[in-house]
Amino acid sequence: MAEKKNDRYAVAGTVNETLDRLKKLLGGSADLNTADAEINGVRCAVATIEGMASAQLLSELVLRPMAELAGSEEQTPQSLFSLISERSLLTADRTLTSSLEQAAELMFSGFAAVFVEGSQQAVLFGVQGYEKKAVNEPTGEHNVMGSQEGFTEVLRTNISLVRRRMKTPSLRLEQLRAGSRTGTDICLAYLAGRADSALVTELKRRIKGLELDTVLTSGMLKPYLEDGEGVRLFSEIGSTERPDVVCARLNEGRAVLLIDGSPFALICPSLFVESFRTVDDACSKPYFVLLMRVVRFIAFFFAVMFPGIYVAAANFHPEALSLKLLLNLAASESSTPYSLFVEMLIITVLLELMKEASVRMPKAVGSAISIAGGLVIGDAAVKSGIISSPLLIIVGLTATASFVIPGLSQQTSVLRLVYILAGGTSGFFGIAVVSAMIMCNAAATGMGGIPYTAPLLPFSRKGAADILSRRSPKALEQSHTVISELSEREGVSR
Amino acid sequence: MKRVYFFLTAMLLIFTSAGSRDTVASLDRAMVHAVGIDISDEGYSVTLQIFHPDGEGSDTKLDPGKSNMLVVSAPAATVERAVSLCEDKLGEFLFIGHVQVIVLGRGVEPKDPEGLFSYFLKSRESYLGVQLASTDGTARELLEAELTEGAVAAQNIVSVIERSRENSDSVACDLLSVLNSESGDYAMPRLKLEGSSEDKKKEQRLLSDGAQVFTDGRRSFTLDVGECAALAHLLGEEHRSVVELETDSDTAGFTLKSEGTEVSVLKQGDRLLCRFEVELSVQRDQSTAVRLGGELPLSELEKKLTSESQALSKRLYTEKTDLLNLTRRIKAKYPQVWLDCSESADTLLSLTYVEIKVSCVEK
Amino acid sequence: MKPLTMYQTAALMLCFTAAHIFTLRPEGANLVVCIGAETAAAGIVFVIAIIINSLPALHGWAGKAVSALAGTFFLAAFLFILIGYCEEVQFSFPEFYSLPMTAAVLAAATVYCASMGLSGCVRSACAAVVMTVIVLAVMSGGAASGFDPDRLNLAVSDREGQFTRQLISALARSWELPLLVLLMRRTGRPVRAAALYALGRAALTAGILTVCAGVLGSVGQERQPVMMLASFAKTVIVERFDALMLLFWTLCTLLAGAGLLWAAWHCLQGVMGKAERRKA
Repeated sequence: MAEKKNDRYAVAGTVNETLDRLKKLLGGSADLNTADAEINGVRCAVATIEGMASAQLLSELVLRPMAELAGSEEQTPQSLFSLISERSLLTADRTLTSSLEQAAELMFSGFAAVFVEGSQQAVLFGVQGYEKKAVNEPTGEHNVMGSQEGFTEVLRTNISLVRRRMKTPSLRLEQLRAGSRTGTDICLAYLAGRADSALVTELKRRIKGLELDTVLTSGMLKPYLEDGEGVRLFSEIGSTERPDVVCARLNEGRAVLLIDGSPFALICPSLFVESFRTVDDACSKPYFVLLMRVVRFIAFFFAVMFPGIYVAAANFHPEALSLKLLLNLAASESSTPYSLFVEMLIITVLLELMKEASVRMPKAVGSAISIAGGLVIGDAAVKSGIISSPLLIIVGLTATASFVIPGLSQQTSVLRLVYILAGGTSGFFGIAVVSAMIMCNAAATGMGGIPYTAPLLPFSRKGAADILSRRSPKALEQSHTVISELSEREGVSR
Repeated sequence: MKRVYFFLTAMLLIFTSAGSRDTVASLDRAMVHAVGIDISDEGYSVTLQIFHPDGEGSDTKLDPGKSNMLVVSAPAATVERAVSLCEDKLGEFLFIGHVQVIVLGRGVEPKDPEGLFSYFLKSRESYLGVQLASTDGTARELLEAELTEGAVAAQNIVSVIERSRENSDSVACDLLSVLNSESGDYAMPRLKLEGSSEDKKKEQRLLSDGAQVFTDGRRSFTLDVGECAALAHLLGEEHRSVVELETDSDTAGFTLKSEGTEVSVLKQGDRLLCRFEVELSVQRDQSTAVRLGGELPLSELEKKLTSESQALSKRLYTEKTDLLNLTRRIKAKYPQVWLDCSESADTLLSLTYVEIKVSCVEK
Repeated sequence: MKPLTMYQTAALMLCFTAAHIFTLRPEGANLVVCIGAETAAAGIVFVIAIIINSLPALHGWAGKAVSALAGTFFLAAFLFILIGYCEEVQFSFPEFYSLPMTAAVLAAATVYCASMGLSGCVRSACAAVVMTVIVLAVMSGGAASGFDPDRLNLAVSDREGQFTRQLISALARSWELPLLVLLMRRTGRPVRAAALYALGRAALTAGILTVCAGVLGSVGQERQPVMMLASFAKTVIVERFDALMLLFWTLCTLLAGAGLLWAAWHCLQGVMGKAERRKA
């Protein structure tokens, strides 16, 4: 780590002076713990941040061994310092610094700083003991046959989850930092020899060039890592809570960012078709995978386009619907006060409202939402004639379908409304215009020369096998899909 | 200029309605599912059968046990004007995209189909495959019948036509085939009502009664059930039919299924020969085989069917009606001959003679 | 500039073909003659494109003059296509769409798609063409019950005259030829791209017109046969296809227009002498 040149906050020659400077640097922060003692005639001090370092580890790994190593002989400050910094291994995580700012940053990450009288450097030992969540099941990406472990908020735990699954020396884990105030640790992971080095370099450049003062979640980094001016509907950077997914993507030659404080890792680049893949696909028979992929594509269509197409067909082109369906629809709509378009808008907004409420509400009142949503809004609204029952079926189907692809939930929600507005006001003309604009927007998205819509557009025969099914075990043995195979040649201009 | 502004502009323009000036949502329009055209003093009388749900349920008003219809009628000089008057009577705009059938009443002759059906041809909603049917009574009477099979009464009419065609008891005719007819000759299914509307105890039933033939757009003659079957054999349409054969001991019925008809047109000197080779399969069933003592009388069947087909062909020749699409076949095979005779279709037909061979196989 | 693949180039060109097919009016000409004329036009366009592509590129003032001319042509072609589309929409769906608003929306959307860059447009064009072909195939399947090979005849007194008129009409509507030449210079395999486009154009036009001729016969000669077929075809799920045809027609027209706008912008840059910006 580069040392900052600022004499005011440099480690002083005396312990008292050092501690004073440290307290001044931290503004007399209440969570700064300091203790000093004399070890074999040499004055030492230990500084930690309350709740970040483990007192037990500090005592067992650092302080007691320090005293034991020092022995009974009198030590000089230099010899004691040399003993703990060079001639012993108290912990594997040890850093030397002469900057108190640097020392403070490390203390905020759970290090204990040891100052020795007469020495102008501090030794920092990693004795993290902060409270952290245990490794649990991921909150969103559930599966049946895969691992049930998900990332946590602690970077080191996440790194260990990845390392445990990728026991190869070519897995590189580079430490970066972002956020001038938060100093958030970021780990860039990739497989050397498989990942595109230009992409890795570019990612590092973008993270280092960030001028944010706080980076609290992985989502805050995304806009700065994406290409384009942020007007893309889809993001070429994916996110996942699952270590097995991260390892699979690393094996495909992608780069992954693990961010301290966020259980969501960022995968660069990500493709549109990957939102339709799950971990269970690798554990299932190919014919079942084919069926499930088709179901997911249909679900996406239902979630995004179906309500808009339904409104467009019913309002502008009812001859395209079958007679019996149309008769039922006409009979149902005859008693409702609003037009089909307005009903669809109302119920879609209600759906979003209920989704948002179910995410934000306290668990204790969870059942109330189910009752309110299902009985009151659903059944009563139909019986009172505010909305028609065919519409409720459509929206129920749409809502269910939208949960099939959680990775595209933002786009699904917004695009659904856009399609309803377009279809309701302009029929199939509006649907076509919106579809063209969305297709162009998605097709123009990409990262590192890899189009977001690959391997569909442009079509790649090798990658196409992964769209609807998974490759056979024999094919996987012979060659692995590497993301750089989908890259187009260099040079882009508008 | 930022790209996002274009996106927003386009969205805004769409949302402020790219279209709808004074459109009425289609679901608010009256759905017509059957049309009847009769002759009236003023010219034509148009009857529209409109969807009107009769149910009383809270979830849906559509009760399949009822006819779910409303009938409105108006006379005028043209069909178009008459439909417009119907619209005025109803007080709603019409939606004709799901018209299932157009019934032509007694005396209505599509001499100029483009003119008679212009209202439907002009509207992009219209379905070109809409069934056409004819009746000897008035179309209005037919459309006013309370038919309860199917969600709406018109579905009943269409299903009767389709079943009759499949059983070769009648023919099917749609708007496109009438417009496409080279010679202006076509056959429409003939419908009649059984039962009186005054007798509430007995439900009215719709029946098929052979076919009405139009020669050059004019009503000419009718075909009975047997002739309709022969026509179906010759046209090679997929169908089933039951033919009765008198044997030494009994009259037996045989179910026939079409296996295809090969039609060839050959030039023989200064005349044209149109050869029809009809192949039918006879379904063997045990009871018939027992009654007849073993073998099916295929040769007798062939003989009977051939003679029926030849009788039909002769009648069509006499009536100068081209229901066998001879004109179209000649046009395809010998376009120059067709061009030379294009002034008069009768000349072409008089130069053509028909040879029919029916073969039956047991299945 | 990333070189395009031959499929991408052909797909963008086929958008023009698809957009044109939906509004094709034989004006009384025999449909089989139309098929022949359209196929011949595809071949002629291919040959012209190859010849122009083989000419050396012009530099300096001559190059700028050609760029200016070409840019003007592309803009004019875009306006013609836009106005033509709006008029046809008015003709086919008069109750719903007013000409000024349709034009404004389509123009704005086309500009947006063009601003996404050529790569976005050509990739979208690939998807659009594939979907259009699939829908046309399904539609043809839905109308197949009415197909009669005997309706495919050449019983026309003035065969040669009709063929010539249709051929000239097809060539006059080939707005995409200059765009094809421009894209050929950016395609990895230009000759194959042009050949693929010509084959695709011939196959698509011939295929759909054959079905129209076999189902509609002489009725299709006086109107728009593809739209008419769409209103006749019926399947289990989709009762009628004219709404779907509107969707794909609009999609293809929009992408074709975006291609023309991109070309106009590219020519303008050539006139201004600006080098292409490369992505960092």
